[in-house]
Amino acid sequence: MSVTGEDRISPPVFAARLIGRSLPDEIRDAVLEDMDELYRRRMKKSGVLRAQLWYCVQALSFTSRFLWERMRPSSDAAQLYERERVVMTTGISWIDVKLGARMLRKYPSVSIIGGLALAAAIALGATAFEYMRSQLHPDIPLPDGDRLVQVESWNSAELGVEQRVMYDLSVWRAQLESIEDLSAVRTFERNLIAADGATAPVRVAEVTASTFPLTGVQPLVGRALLASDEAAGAQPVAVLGYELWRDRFGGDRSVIGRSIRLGRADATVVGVMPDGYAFPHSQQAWVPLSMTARAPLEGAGIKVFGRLAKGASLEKAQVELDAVSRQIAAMSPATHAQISADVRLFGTSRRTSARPIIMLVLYIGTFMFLLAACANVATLVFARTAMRESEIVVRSALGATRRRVMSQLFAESLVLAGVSAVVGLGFVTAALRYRWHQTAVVQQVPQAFWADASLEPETILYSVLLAVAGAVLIGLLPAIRATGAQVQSALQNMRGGPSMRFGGVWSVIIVLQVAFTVLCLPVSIGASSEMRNDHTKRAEFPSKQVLTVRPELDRETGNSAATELTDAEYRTRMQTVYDEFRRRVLAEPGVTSVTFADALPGMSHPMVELEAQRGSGPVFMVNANRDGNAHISRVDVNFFEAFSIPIVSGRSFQPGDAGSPAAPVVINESLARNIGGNPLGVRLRTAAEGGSEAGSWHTVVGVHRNLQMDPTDRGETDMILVPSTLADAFPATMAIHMNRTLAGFAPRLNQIATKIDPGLRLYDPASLSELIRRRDLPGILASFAAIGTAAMAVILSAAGLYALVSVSVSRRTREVGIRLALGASTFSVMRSIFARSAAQVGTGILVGNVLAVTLVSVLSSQLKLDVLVPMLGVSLLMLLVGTIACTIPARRVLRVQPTDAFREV
Amino acid sequence: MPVQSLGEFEQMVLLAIVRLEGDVYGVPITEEIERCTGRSVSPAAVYVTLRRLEEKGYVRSWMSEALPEPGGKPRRCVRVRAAGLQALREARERMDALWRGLDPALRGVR
Repeated sequence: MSVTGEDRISPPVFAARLIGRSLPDEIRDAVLEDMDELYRRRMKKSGVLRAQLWYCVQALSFTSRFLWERMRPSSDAAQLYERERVVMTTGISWIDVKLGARMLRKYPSVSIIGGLALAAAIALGATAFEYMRSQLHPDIPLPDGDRLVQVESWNSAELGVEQRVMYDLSVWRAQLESIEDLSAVRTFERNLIAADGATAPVRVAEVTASTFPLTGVQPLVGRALLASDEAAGAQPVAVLGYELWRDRFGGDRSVIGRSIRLGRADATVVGVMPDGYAFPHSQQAWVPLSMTARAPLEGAGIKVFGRLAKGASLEKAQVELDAVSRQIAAMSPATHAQISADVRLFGTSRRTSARPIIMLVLYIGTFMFLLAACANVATLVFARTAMRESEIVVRSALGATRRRVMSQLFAESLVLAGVSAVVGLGFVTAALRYRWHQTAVVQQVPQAFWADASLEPETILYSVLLAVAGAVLIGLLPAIRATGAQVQSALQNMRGGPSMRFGGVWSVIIVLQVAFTVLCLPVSIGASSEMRNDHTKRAEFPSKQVLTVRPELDRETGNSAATELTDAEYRTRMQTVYDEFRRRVLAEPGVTSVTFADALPGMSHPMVELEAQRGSGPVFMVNANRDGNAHISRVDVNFFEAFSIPIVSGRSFQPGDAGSPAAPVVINESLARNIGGNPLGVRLRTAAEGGSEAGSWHTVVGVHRNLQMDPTDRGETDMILVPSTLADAFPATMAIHMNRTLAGFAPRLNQIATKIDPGLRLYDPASLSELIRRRDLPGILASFAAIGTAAMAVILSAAGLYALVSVSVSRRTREVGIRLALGASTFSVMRSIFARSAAQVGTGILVGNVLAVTLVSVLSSQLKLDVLVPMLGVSLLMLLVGTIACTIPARRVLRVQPTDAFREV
Repeated sequence: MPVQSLGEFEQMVLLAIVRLEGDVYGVPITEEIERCTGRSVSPAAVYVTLRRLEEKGYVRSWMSEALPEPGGKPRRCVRVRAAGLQALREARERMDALWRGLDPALRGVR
């Protein structure tokens, strides 16, 4: 049976877990198998997306139906006892839950607005928890994965990780008892060249044979690497990953013994690892690493992994490692006096030690957000409860205890929070999948073998806890207020109308909310509109007919670190290979030019501070447009001709300009204006910063027209372009201009590259317009998220005001009716109703504006019109929103007939 | 033992099992109901109903051998018990009794 790509796409893990948890043990496995079968049939019929959507809907259906089934009345005594026990311990019965569900339908505005606010808070909390969990305790899908560790050396003299630790590893292997199976790994990429010439880069790991026992995974076909493979002169061999074997060799078992070409060297395939194996990160093939004896700090850079011995803890291993490090420092003080070693769990990063503080800040931040959301929702729930005061009074009169009434009100909040948790988790799952699709599928960024796009059970549990906490906050406070002493007084005076009142807490919440909106909305809208304008300008650059690729060249002539080229040899080789590549690509039909830069127009450029000198005059700082900084880019000498960028003064680059430390430079019009006078002949250099010295002087030989791609408040960003060789511009991006469609040309480029040098690898073929889109997408999404948050604050403020006035109106219906009957004008009645709301909105607007003005004054020396105008606009908007929110319930009270009001007296 | 009455969907599930003849599991039952009634059926509804029918003693279930196909796995199969057939018959009789004599009256109704 052939396996297609779609067949491998499993149902959503989160949904499958949901179904699994809702089912009784005895039918769980069988039903999940059946659902899997139905899912695959639907996928064939309607496609992956529809099938996944269907599966998610079914998960909700299973959860609700089987939950209901468990709550269903039954004659079975044990079940009855169980249900009674739940009611007795929590005070919540299944009828309360059912009533809670009905309340959602009966008050849709509270359900939708409150539910969305809670869902956003729970989604934020779940995202933060999932991120921290994946950073601190990644689930490594290997036997004893939680005992795998990485040992890393730190060179405090160079303030960097020291990877030349082959000597250290030999000592660690001999002396460490708390870490077993210490293995060395060196990762790189190679072109895998098939017999038909098809070429694609493959992620390879050069590993010691001990790596396979360390990870505890047996090969699917053939054998793993052996210690004898590491010996000098041994036949070069390779073990393939499952996906590589399946995709490039059709899953053919006879691949064992076949010779493959990895970059510039051949290797014989000896084994295939099972699906999912990609140690240490996302590797697709493994070749042996020779561990010949090395002197301290010699040999290639490696990473070292091991496994904690039985009974050994991370702390114990660190103590032992410290002792061994001191021994090595004593033996080799010249090289190791400044070197220490750390051991940490596999899959975590060096910065993990600082994570507990970040984690604490993150948790407090998300909990504050939950508190803010709950405070708002509590306002709405309180208003809803106030509307039902007569029901609560009657229930109390009929003998319901305070605890019983509170349980029911809490159960209603629990249902709202539960639905919000499901919505929030669904949103997080969709967002995780979108991010995974963008990075792993669209941008082809390799993902670690232990990473996935699903939520872990711990995160779901954490979200449930957040939902319960939310239910407590939004349910208990209104419940306590609603069942307090005033119920007794209401009971004594059944015709007295509602007695519940909004206190000062609600007023503070509304004031803060309005202030937050006035403060944040103009900033969010401004940032978003600026971001979209910038993107529109960048998108106007003629970039659709430009194919870009990122070239890389093997440093080694074979498949081992021993064959590495020196820096000088490598630079010469790279230039030779590039010159030949450009010559051959230009000979292809439809190609008009080939050039490169470290960052092409529209991509992100590094920023520098520039110093200038005119003749032998004084050196002065250039006040560039972007907060004093200019963009710098290293480009090919034909860059301006390739992109048809006009030179408005002086000259373009010439062959021979590149490669010199004092190469002439071309600047853009903005930089020319900021230098002042005639810029030609002026010398520029990067200013000294921190510990770094000033750069070499470069003479300005030309001025090019502004590209209008990076606007600032003061005009286009300043730009300085330095002619460069490919090696100096590394990592560079090549731009191939074509006057025909770009589609299908990337494989041809790979073929040309491999023919010139099998070690030349081309990554990420995409049009320049796509690169520009990728650069701007996160910013645009973030600005939309900011606007969404501010819009949510506007809606919650409006809902809070609406709730406040609703309660106030229902409390004063009789009074208003009498006043109207006695001849009071509509205006004076409305004024008395609006007084409190107007005070809250007014205070909020005032506080928000004062904060915004203070903030702008601190950040900028002068208040600008483009900040003040949006602030005024948002203030007016909040006033309008507040008025509408108050008017709707107020109109209700004005319709009261005076006769009705008198009848109630 | 008095026969408990059957809901509409319970009747559909029992009839689908009888129509399929032999040992069947959830997937064919769901598809048979969809095919015969022309309406979409939630698998969750089918499994909940099967569970209720088993509690009432109308069907019995057991884990089968692995299915005879590549990657085939054991399934939970069901079969209608005699009590289930009796309940179906009684449901049919009750409905027939209500329908009797109404055909001429409903002739013009669409």
